[in-house]
Amino acid sequence: MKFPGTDVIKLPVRWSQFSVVKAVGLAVAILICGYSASLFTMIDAIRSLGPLVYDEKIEAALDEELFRIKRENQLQRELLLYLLQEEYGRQSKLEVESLKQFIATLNMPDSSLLGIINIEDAKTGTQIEWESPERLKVLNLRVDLPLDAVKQQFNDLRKLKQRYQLIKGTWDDQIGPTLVAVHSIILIATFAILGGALFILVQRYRLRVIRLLDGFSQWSEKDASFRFVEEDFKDELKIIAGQFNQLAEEVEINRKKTLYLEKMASWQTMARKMAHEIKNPLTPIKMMVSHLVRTYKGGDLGYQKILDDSQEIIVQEVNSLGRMVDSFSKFAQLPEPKFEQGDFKQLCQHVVDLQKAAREDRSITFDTNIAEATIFADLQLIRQVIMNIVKNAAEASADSAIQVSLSEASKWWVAKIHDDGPGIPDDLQSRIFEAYFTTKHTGETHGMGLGLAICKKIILDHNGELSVTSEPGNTTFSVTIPKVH
Amino acid sequence: MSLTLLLPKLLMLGALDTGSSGLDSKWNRSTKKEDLLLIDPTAYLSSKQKKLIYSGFPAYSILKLVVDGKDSETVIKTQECAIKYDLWDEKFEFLLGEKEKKTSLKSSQEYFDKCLVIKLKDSPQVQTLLKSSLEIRLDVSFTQISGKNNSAITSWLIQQQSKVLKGLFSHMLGELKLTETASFKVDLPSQNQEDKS
Repeated sequence: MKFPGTDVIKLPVRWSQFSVVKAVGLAVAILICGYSASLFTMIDAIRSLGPLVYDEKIEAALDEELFRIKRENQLQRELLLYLLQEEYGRQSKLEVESLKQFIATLNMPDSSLLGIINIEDAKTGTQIEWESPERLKVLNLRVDLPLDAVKQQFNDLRKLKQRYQLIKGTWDDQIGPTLVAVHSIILIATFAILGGALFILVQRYRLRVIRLLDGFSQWSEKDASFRFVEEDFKDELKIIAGQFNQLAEEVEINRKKTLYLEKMASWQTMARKMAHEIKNPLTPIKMMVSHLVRTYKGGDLGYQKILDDSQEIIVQEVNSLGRMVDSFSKFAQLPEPKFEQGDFKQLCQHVVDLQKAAREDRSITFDTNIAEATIFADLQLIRQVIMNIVKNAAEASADSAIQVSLSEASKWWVAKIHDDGPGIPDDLQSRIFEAYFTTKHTGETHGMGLGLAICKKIILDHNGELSVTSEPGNTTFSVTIPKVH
Repeated sequence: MSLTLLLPKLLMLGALDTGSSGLDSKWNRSTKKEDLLLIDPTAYLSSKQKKLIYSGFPAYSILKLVVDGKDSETVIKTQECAIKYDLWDEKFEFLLGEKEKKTSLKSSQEYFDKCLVIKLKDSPQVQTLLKSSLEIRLDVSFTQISGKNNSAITSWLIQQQSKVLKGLFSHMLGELKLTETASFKVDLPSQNQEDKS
């Protein structure tokens, strides 16, 4: 129970109270577990790959191949030396062309491995021997055999072996740990970014929810006219804010309607009592006045005239009071609506036709593009309402034009009665539907200020709405009745 | 027989894992030259260390003779070499050869003698060391020197990674280097031991 004047107690909204937070937390936990498991699996895989990276047999095979290339090269050298010695061992001098041709005709295995051969005149010498690994002395000539292709083949294989050795030697200490570290950093960075983004999104959501709850509190405790600005929210919260605004509007309308009906009930109670209290003495007053006049035997003509005049005035006022009592009685005993299906369009047309007939010099029109406007209502009472409003419009000004229109708005039929009369002052617009409030003092119920109050009650009893907007030259009464589904 | 063929056998023979071992030292007494105390770890090198030496990669070797004192260590001699073993010509080359007259070494033994054998001249300090009961340790370290070949292998390895990982992997991997270390406890000879050259 809340006592007036106490502050609103704000309950803290914890993170754990959000189902979104729980869902996100669970999702993150699953992702972390999954990625952690995959990280450990990767570590195991890298560790197990270590022995696979290096195979001693492969290294041994590479060593054998390297040895084979060198061995073959050595044999080629020895073979070349032997062949040259066989051919030119007994000579002392040699021509360049002759040597070239001889080397070209040699049927040596892989002779292309010798590379580009250069022969120059050494001027002196009688030996046939290798001066250096790439230079051969043949008598008076010097032959350069760079062995480019062989060396290239050897170096390519050497590099392959060195790559093998280096990766094996650094796999456990450098390469493996680096791979794990790199993947870990990327995973951690990914989760940090993802986690940060999720945190920001959830925090924003949480703040919007808190704002929503604050709004509810403000509406219920402080300000019944509070409404959310729907554009401040997104997604489901926007829908909730919109629904709340609709709900608050309906509550406000119902509250006003309830307040009005309670007022009406009070007014009706008062009218019933007044009618009863005032009606009773009226007849005795009239009778006594008549008796007084009848029993005067005459003699004084002046006094007789006073008596006659007084009787007339008293009877007039008593009759006036009697009419007032009748209108109070009528107001106090407003009949309950008897509902039946009918056509609102036809009803409005009928009222307009009657008023046009009664006021031939006035412009009274009916405009609609609706074929049929079915309502479930007390047609007599509704007709009375439309008639009352049209009559008020006609009496508001002697020459104003009156337009009656019928349209639809969602689940409602809306009849509008528009006139271009002087209008209703702003300060009086909110009071014109109150009982006993009037700006006119002619006619019967209108003079009592009960006409529009009765109209309002009738429309409220039909779950509709009667409202007015007015400014000089532009006054519109709107009668809203629900459609029949 | 080619040294390359002998290499696997060399690697198996005398292969010792890295760690402390007793390393004998001996005098090389000469009538013509100075007496030298030789500390030779070559027979105690592990197969991994020898593989690194003969891998063909440029390698930097450093030997430190350390005296273990009560509270501190004292380095009494260091010996550094930067060499490369040419797999084709099967010979060692000095890489930092400004002071060396020859950049190529005739044999492996010449490399061992120049780079891996500690030679201490007979001196009062050495005599004091022999008489003392201090522990002496020889720390040996072989580190592969970065070069084009290294860089090429590292680049090849980096290229195997996905585009996403390439940059980070390259930055974190650093230089791939083979490093082998060993530490030997040195057993000093008694004063009666000598070896005449």
